Amino acid sequence: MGFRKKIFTAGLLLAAAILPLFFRNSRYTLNLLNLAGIFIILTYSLNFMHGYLGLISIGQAGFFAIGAYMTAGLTMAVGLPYLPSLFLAGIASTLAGLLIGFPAARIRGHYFVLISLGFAEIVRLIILNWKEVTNGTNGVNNIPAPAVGPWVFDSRFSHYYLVLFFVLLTSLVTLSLRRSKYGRSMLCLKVGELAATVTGVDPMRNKLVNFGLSAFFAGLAGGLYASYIGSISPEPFSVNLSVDVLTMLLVGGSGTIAGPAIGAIFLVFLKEWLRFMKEYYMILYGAGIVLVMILMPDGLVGLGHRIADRIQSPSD
Amino acid sequence: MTPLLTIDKLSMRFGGLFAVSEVDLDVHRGEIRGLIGPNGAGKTTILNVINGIYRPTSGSIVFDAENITGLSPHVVARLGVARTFQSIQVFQGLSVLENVMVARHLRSSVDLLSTLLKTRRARREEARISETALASLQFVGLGDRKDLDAANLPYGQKRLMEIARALATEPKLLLLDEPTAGMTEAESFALIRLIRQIRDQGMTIILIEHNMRIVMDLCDRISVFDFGVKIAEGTPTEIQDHPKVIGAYLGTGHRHAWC
Amino acid sequence: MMQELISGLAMGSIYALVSFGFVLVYNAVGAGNFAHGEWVMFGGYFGLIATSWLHLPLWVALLFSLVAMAGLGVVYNRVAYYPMRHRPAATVIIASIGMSILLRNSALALFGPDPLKLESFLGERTFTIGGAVIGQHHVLIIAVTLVLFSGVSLLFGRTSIGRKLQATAQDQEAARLMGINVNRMITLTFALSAMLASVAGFLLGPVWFLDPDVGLMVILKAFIVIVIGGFGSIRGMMAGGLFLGVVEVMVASHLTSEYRDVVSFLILIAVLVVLPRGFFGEKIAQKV
Repeated sequence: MGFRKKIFTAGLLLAAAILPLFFRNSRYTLNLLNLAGIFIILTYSLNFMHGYLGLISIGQAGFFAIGAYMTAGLTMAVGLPYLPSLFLAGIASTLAGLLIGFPAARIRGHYFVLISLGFAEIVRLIILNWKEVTNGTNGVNNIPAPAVGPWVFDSRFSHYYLVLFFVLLTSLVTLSLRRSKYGRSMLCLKVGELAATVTGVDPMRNKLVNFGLSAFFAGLAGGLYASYIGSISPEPFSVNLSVDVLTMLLVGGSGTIAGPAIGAIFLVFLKEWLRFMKEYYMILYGAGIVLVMILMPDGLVGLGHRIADRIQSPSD
Repeated sequence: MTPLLTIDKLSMRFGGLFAVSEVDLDVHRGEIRGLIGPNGAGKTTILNVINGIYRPTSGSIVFDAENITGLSPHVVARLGVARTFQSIQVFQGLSVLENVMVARHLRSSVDLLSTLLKTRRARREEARISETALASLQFVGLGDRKDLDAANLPYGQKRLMEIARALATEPKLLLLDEPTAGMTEAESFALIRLIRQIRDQGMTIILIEHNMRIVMDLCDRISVFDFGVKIAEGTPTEIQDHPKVIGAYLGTGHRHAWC
Repeated sequence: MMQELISGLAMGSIYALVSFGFVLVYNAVGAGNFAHGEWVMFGGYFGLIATSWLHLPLWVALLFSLVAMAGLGVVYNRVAYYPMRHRPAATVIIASIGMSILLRNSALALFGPDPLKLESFLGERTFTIGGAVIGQHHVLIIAVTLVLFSGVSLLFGRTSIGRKLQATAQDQEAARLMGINVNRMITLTFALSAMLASVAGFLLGPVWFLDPDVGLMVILKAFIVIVIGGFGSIRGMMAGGLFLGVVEVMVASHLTSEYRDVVSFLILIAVLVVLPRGFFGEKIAQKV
């Protein structure tokens, strides 16, 4: 990485680390920061599928839900400590990802969207109706706050740092993937599957790895969500959430390192700021998605690059 | 000596039409075999079947003593068949070097976790992939272009990159589909020389070409196709005067249309 | 049993009708309109506006809805498809998802979240056949759907404008070269699709009630039908719709009513996996 980039990244990390100190007394802002962080991880999880394989999925809510309920179940019913629970929840989600991956790997385009939708709906319906295990619409309450060794992250302030840790982890994995053979193989499958397979890239294997990663991080986000909010019910894990994540990814810029983070932060805060408009804010939100697709299909990151190019060569 | 590739009674039907009909083809090690014939004769279809892109309606393909009929393209690639396409397939968004590095993945074995954690073993493998890919690029003369965005290469160099990528899979058989299409005279000339070099290093090559001069010059043997059927096979001299071949291309009795 | 069957066929017909509208646009522009469910919902809501707010008779309400929906279709095309017509399908799909959010929340703002009932042309009347009580509206649904399917098929096959629409759907470039005004054909297709959605809304309103989330439920089922029936086959969609409708009712009454939709989605996945061509020929999965 170039020197300027290194400084910039270090600055960014520092800013992220000290940010909550400025809002120590604002539960409202700290809450938003936590939620933004969780959604950043979710958006990165979708970025694996869309940025690397070009697949549109509106099913992340399914993995998110599995991660949430598994974490709740493992910490409460089984009594496992937090980190192992979170990790196993991620694994459970990964297994679901591989399970749906087998049929889904051969499928493309619109049909893939449908299968992702079907998957998420199945998960939601099972959670809704399997009352013995999930408590149905009443949901699971009093989920314990995360505890790692001597630290208990029971305040919004402290929890932020837990979330930040996992955000960094997710972005590092994304970065590492790009410079690895798996990342290259996946990108080739995205832009030229025929030529890729003829060059020896195994589509099934690479897609399964991709789905597994996507599911794992979505499940991880779900586990963080469950222990942060403290109670979960089937209601938030709907298509709307999956669509939100997709919107965050596209607004931020799919296939980039910064895009998922930018998109998630932007939209979490935007939704809050528009909230004063009550029913109407969602109408604007929908209109906003359409506008973004018309005006900035490469997202904010793409827009940023275009502006930067313009500044560097203003030849018009 | 058994042929490297034996195609036996290959037929390929799409809907109601036979694109390829009962084709037999034997290609020997170290040979440059040309496939010629009018458009739509089935030549590309034959290559697609060899690669495993299509599963043949009937017939078999044996490569290096292994029956590869119906195997998936990536498996066939691993077994040693490489391919370039009529319209150049560049992996957009990747650099020239990365495009070729992809070809090394089928020879690498490090698992996902190690790769993501960037363990020493993974880093060493990545370095090896990079070096071998670079060597392949240097062989075709593109070594100094390695960091460019592959999509920005001029047309002729894209083709060279595609060949470098194909070679990097360490194939035993190279399938080239109209490699000189769209190239200037000079570029074609250089490509011919490259193809000869590749063969001289022990490669077996099947070549689809429309430029008759190149075909006659380069190929050891030529197989001629029309309407999905092989109508003639032999050395360049034999084919040149073959009445059926002339008829297929021209429909009249003219000779030497391509001299 | 008879009652269940008719009820299943009725729901299935609605699914088929919704699929039909969706596929019309998909074939014409190469990208799916994920707001189609909301179109169905608005078709019904326009009917409610006409009957409850404007106190118009039901027939006029239907006309009102058809015209309004056709208008919506035209505007939608101009706003949410036309600017992106050269972009990849993904962009158009996402934009249509945005439109679905916009429409759904507009409905929420205008009508509130509570389910509202739209009157049926046949009211609550029933037939009694062999001891089974069958709602006339259910039979109406099935009849209307069959008529519409045949009608639109004839339109495409026998009329000049229909052939032009078909040509545009098959190959825009070729159609343009033949002198067909492709943009106008696409606008027409959107309008036609919207009108079909309008009818679906009118058929749906009396049995399923209308609320802002109806669109989502309906489009999910339509997707399953499309997978079973295929994007290319009109007969497939009708058959697929009827099949799904009946299976749903049977599953709900004899197996499990809570997991009924899970079964439907499993059918979706199973068909995608097992039958790469759906039941009627459209290639879904790739070999590679």
